[in-house]
Amino acid sequence: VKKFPVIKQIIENKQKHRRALAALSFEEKVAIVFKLRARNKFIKSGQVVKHAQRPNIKL
Amino acid sequence: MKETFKVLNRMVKAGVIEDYAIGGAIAAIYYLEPFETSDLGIFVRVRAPASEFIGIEGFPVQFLLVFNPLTDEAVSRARAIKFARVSTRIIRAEHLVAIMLDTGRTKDYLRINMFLEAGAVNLRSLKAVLKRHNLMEKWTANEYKFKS
Repeated sequence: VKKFPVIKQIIENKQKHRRALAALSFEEKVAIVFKLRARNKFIKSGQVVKHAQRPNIKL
Repeated sequence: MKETFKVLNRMVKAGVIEDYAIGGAIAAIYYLEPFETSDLGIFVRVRAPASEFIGIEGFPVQFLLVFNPLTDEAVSRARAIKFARVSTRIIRAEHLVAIMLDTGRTKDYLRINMFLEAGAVNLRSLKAVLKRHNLMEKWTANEYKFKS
């Protein structure tokens, strides 16, 4: 029988992270929305990512 | 976004719009975790219909006219909140869920699920809203989709 890794902990951590994000202030959440937009714009631009070019986006 | 709310407040004061409340994804984000969205949806009550999108602070602001009793009530009963010390108004979670149910796109159902999972809605208040706007039948028919 093929063994698969247990991902329960990963899912729980993701859930915990989502809850932590939901608990942020409205201002902080809106700032994240703007960062997500910037990141998506960068991805859609199709530019080759060089280290110096990498957008400074930390979520 | 702080400037956007200042502009909206000035629009109310100047009589350009009667009243407004934040709706759509940005309102959902107030209650849930942040996710990507392309614009800020604002429900407005106006005397004369206006155009839809206006760019403020480099972010498209969509002006959605109050178009039925549900959206009218949502704006009337919106919560007064502060954003970076600027007063603004945001649609209550129960009205957002009711509007999403009424709209009924796949992404709306997904967000309803997120609201329920996060415990961000008062089910009693939600059902009262749904009853008032004849949405109970639609809720019952789709409820299984929201149970994870």
